[in-house]
Amino acid sequence: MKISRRSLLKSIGVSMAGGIFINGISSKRVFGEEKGMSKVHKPVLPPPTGKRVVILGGGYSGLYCATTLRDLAPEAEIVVVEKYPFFISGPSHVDFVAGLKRLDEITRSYDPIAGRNIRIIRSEVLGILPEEKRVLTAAGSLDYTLLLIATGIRIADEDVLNLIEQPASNSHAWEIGETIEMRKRVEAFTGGRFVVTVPTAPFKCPPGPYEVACLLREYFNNKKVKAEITVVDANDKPQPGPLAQKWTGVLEAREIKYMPNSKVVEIDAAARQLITDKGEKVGYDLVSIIPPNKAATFIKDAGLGDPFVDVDPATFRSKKYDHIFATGDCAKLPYTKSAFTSVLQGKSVAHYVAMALGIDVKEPAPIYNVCYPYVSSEESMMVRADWDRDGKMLKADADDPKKEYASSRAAWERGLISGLFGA
Amino acid sequence: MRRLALFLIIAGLISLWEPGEPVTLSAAEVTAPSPPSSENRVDVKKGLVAFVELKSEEPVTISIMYPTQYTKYKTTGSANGVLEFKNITWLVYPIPALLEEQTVYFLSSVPKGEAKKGDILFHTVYEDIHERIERLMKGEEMLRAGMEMVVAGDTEIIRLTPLIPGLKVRLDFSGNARFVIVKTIDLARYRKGIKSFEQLYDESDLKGSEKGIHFSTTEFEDLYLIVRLIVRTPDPVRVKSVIHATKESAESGC
Repeated sequence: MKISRRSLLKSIGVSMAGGIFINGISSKRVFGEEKGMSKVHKPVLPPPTGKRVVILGGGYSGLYCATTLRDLAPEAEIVVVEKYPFFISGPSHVDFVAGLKRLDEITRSYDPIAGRNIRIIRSEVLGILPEEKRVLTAAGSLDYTLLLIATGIRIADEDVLNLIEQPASNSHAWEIGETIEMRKRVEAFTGGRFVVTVPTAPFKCPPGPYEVACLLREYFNNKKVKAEITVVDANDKPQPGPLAQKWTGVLEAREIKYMPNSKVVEIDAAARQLITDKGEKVGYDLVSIIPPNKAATFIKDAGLGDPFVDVDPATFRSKKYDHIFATGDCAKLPYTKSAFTSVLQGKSVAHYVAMALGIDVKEPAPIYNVCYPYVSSEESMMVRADWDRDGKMLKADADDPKKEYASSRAAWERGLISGLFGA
Repeated sequence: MRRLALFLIIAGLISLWEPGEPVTLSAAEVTAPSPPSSENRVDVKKGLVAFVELKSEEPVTISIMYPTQYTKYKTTGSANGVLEFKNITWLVYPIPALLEEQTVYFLSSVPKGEAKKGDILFHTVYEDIHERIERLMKGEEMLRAGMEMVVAGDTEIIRLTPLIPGLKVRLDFSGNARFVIVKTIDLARYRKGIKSFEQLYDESDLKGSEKGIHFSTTEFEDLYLIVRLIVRTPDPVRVKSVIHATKESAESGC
């Protein structure tokens, strides 16, 4: 389907009228006043004079692509579009919620990235016009030679009945604003039923919900707060698959009730209860619903895939447009939706983008994943998976909780951050 | 003699499959049919996937439990969170063991007050996961899961899950029933009374009556099948779902 500017603007207009959410932010907020519409037509930057690579998303994948590409293609103009004014490391969201880290410890300025001749534009992406090689942002339009989409996931609140109408009823660690709110609620919790829900896979940071349950068990115990913790899981077993049996034992040992095969479809905030797809009611005093994870709606609108961007797992190139690439959580890939694979995907796609710019570079190494999910503030498990170049999983390994893995986790995340921003 | 025994085992297994159903399970790894039992334990070695098949003349309830759930069930009687299939006459359920050995228990029971007719046949077939992925990547379509159930009430809701893009789903109905396939949010609206069956039927592209439907999944979205009887007949309406994996579903990472 060819996407024209007229049809895209029309669809954005329809979205505005209906108050439909775009990329997690209401269209009204994105556009501001009615007169904000005119901004869409104005270019943010003059048309490129040479090769311009536009990267949508300033998370791990987008930034690692930008910095790697800077080295591979010194002549290229690199532009990163990011909606947040600063970078926050995703894996530390759970640390912050559990009081293990402060916000300033996990936040970084984009200045060191900009200092490497990478332009950072703070704006919300509204749409892509692949035929015109143009991106529409809230700040205006942006023309490109090659485009990388690395916008991560969108939390699909609309998939849980009443969640949009009662947004204050929920908080979770999957978006920064929600994470801050959740921390406040955790601190204010004086006891009772804490429920964390897990969406159907795939979702960002698969061990995350179980880590939150375990860390908060420890936190509440330390504070002598009596908490009955329940994990309501839409999947048949804890995620990711390789850790399923280990998680089951970990949760049981911490007296965390585990309800697999139970998908939350509705919240009744007045009655303080969740309703599952089986019709079961689960009461709560503090709740953390993680709604289904999808990609930004402009991806579907641009005909690039639904709900994730359809790409070749080897080159990250769109199956539909040669000049578009996608990596990380927004792409339909066999790799775990984790910070670590996002980093490797970002580095890897930079090579394919450089090749597309006509630069002779070596084939990058295949993707693998390593992460160290917390079972407490002092112990972590270990999971590793390796894929071949075509995305076929070659092997996977997992290990029981150990103190040394908690140290490994700290070093692991420090490494991811310092690779971008320095020590 | 050994060859003859193997042949008989394979022949026995294949006879359980419906005519026309592609049998994609690796014959060399077939195990002998278990004696009929209401409780079966399946151990899957690392690197293999087990396909467990149950078949019963009369509808049964099948509960699938992991070891901790099984232990809890045996000690406290609690079946909280256990995966349960009701009114089942045929089931194919995969148990992948990519990283470590898996143990899963299958408990089957007849609804209270009903006599059990015939035996529940239980078979397990093992395949090498990597070999299977290889075959999928080469374009082969392979059975992933299957189920046949009897529609007991006027309306029945069945979760078709887990769904990933690229799966081929075939649903067949034996009698007078209308059905519609909906996403999770519409299931919630239906349960809440915000949307009626008729509304969902009007809105959905995946719907029909009697003859069933074939479709390919395009999303990771869970789907639910809502079946409504048109008229109640002496012969119960049966719904059969058969899901095949493809190259595209293998590329989706599951």
